[in-house]
Amino acid sequence: MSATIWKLGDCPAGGHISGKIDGKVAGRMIKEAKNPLLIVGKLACEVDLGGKRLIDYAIEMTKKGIPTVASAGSSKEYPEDLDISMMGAVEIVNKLQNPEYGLNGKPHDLVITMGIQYYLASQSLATLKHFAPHIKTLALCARAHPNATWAFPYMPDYKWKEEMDILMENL
Amino acid sequence: MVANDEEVLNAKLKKFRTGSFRLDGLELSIGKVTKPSEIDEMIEPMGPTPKPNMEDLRDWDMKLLKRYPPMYSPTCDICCLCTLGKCDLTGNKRGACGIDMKTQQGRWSLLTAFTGMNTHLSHAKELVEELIELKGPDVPIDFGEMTPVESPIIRVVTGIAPKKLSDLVEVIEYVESQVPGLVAAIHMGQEGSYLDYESKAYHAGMLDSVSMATADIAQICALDMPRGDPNAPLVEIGMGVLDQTKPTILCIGHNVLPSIAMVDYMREHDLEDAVEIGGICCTAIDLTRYTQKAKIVGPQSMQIRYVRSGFADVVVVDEQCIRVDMHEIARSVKAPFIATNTKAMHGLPDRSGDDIDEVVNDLVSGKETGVLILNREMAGEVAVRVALGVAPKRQKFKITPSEDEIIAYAKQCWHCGACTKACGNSLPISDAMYAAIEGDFSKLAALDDSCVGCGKCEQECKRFIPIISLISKASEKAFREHKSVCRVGRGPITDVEIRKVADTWGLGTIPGAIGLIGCSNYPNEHREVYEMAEELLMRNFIVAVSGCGTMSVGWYKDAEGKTLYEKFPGAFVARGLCNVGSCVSNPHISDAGIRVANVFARRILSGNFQEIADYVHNYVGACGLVWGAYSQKAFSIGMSFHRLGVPAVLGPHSSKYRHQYLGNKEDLETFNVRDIKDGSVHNLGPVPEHMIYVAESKEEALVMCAKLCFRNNDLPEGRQLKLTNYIDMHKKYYGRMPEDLPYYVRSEVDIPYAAKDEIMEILDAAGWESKRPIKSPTLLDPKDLWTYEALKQGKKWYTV
Ligand code: SF4
Ligand code: SF4
Ligand code: SF4
Repeated sequence: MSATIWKLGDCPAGGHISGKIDGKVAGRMIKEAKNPLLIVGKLACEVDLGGKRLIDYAIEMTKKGIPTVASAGSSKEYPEDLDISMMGAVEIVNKLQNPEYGLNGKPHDLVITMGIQYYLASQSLATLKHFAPHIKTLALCARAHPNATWAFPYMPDYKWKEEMDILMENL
Repeated sequence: MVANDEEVLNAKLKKFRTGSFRLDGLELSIGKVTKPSEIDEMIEPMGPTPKPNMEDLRDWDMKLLKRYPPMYSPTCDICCLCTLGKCDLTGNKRGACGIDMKTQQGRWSLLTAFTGMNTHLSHAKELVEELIELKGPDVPIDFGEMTPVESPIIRVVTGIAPKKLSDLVEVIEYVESQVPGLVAAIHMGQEGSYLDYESKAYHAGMLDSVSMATADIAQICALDMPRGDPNAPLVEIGMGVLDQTKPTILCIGHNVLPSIAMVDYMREHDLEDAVEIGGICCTAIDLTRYTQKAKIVGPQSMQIRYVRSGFADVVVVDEQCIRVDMHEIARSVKAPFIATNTKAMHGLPDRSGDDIDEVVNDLVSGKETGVLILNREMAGEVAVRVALGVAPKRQKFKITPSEDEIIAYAKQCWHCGACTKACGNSLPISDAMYAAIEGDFSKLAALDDSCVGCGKCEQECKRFIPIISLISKASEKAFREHKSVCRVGRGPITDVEIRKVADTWGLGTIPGAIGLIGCSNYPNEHREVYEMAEELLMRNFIVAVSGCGTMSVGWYKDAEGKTLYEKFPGAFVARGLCNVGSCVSNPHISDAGIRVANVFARRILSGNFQEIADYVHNYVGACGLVWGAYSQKAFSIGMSFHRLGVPAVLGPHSSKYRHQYLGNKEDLETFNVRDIKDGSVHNLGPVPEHMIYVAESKEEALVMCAKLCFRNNDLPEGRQLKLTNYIDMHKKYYGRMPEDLPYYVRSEVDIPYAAKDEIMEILDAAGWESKRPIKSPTLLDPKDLWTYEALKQGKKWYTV
């Protein structure tokens, strides 16, 4: 099933719109990925899902051992002893076009994005869609991302929190 | 060509220093001219590429593109340029003509840069032609003794040193000669390489710089605008600057000539104190360079808000960045509308040949709501007379709602979120409506600083709520009272300023020069631009501003009521806030880098683009910061910076330009340089790391700007200082030490003393090894350095 486009003006060519996904499937997908990579943007620090910020979920995911790039200052929220890489969202996306590149030295099969400005995330996912065919992408933003391979559909924040909680349980 | 006119040359030579200088073992003698016959000998030799065609600088482009390959982010998966399509190019597939997605993005790059460049070319052509008509062909192009090189970029690209207004015609003819080839390359079934498309886009960008420089030096010299004056006066800026007790004219756009005609008419008829004139966008900036009685209302994003608020009695548009529905908006507040340019005629009746009294009467009576007047003087007279005639009738008629009406509108809101979906900044409008129902307008008012005034929300609202008007009303008090100041555009940065600053800047002991330029499509609050400028100034950077950036920097005041323009000097010095002027003044900023190559390193300028760009790239620590770029012009300006070797950091909306040019420090070999002395190959680190970089947040932009000011030629104390800044900002905004220090510490002497132990630990852990320093890095084959070639051939010439 395909997700409805959230941001007006997004017009991917027929047949390429992202698959709609829920927290349970997303969690399993991340768990089963050979070498996932998480990219966390600055907005993750500002999105409050009712007592828990998006960055808190990201930190929990990193703690589960997912290689993580914290972009644009989101690193500031990470505990100092947690191993993350600091670079721009555009820098990591640029590197990911190389099928041999991996943050941990091994190529990634799944790239997860969260907390990046909608349009910057959309453009970054477009780069990966067109020029990194070896990578599947998963957008955990509650504003449907048509350029991702899979994305959450558009949903209100309380529902987003529910799905994130389910995702964490399934990770 | 270069200073062939003996008289002018003699005059100029008097200003030049005598003496001698050394360029890595080669000595150039500089003596006094005693006989005219010696003059020719002493003229700067012409470089290898005067008036280059699109293939002439291709080798240089490919060098840059190897270091900084384009990263593409398509905004659309298809191409629909010809009827063989639509073609789905998803996943880099090929269309029916054989083009793949990458090459299609390269084509977009050219298309965008080309559109921007032609806009400035056309603007420049109109200015030069009309100013020649107005002031004569012999207006001298002279920026005074402090600035003997009148336009570095024009000299570097074309080899022309314009001495009078009519000399600019040859410059324009050269740029025009490049147009057919560039536009033809966009046609289906032409270029098959994305890199060649990029090279052509650079060409368009470079030509854009030449066009802008032509426009600005023409208007500075013919209209007597400030010529490199760091103490140019302060002028009022803000939504509340136009005195609402008087008739007001609002000018929108970039071409200052119609507004100048209004001011001249007012002067001639002693009406300067009777009518208020102000502007939105670059026309306003340029008008205040002509008269400080004019005022700057604000950047492009303020158009709807200002006009709907009823403040303008007459709206005059010229060209570029005007809302194309402005006639309708002006009509809604009963403000007559005058279009003045063939590029933007808005379907209006052409009244240029009609009797002036009749046109004035038609507009004042409302018989016509808008007219087209292509005669500059007539437009000036009509605008002033209509303002006087219509103001008593309009009584500042506005369509902003009352507070009760806001509540009534808010009650109609379905909270469907369609507005937020349409909004580029996804502003929480529905939440603000909930609060407004309760009579709390603070949430609506809070949207004001992040709203770019695009009107897309209103287009989507099925309840027909005039969202922008609600925001304006909610912030009305602040809006009406908003007054600040901005320094008038000073024009060029002088050769004398460069001489004073070149050693500290060129060798790296000033952390860098930041060109804070561009439009107003900001990702968050407008205020961020002011905050970035303030931080950079406090950190000792040189900050040069132009265009809407100029306004955003002056828009806010500190706790003591002072703007940055009042707190920092207007000179091109460390901690200087140097406003060069409007969009077409941008080349003055990049010219500062070229002036270093000339004044400090004595490189030949004329027709010597590649060598100069190579110099700027390796030696001049500068970076553009273009936080709200939206236009095609802004893109072509970015490309002009890029071809000249100057990096730029852009705001996140600029990811929609589809291109960035990013280095990859893991691929270190791409950053190899050669030593000018012997051609040996070295690696001094990934410096500067990127060329056009989109940042997600202002924090990321600041840290990246600091890093992109590193240059291969930094002296150890310079690199220490730059690293200190970089580390400090990184810790402040990222909470940790940067991970990539091993790339930027060339040897132990580069390490800032205060953090030596901490840095050494990082270096040791990374297995860091020191690099052998070289004094004279280049990306070129040393035999392609024209200055050295000329010296070897025993040529002699004067430099400034
Ligand atoms: S130009 Fe090429 S890719 Fe574009 S529509 Fe025509 S055939 Fe298709
Ligand atoms: S689009 Fe109109 S009705 Fe819908 S939430 Fe926005 S303001 Fe309300
Ligand atoms: S006018 Fe302002 S609120 Fe409306 S869509 Fe544009 S930026 Fe958003």
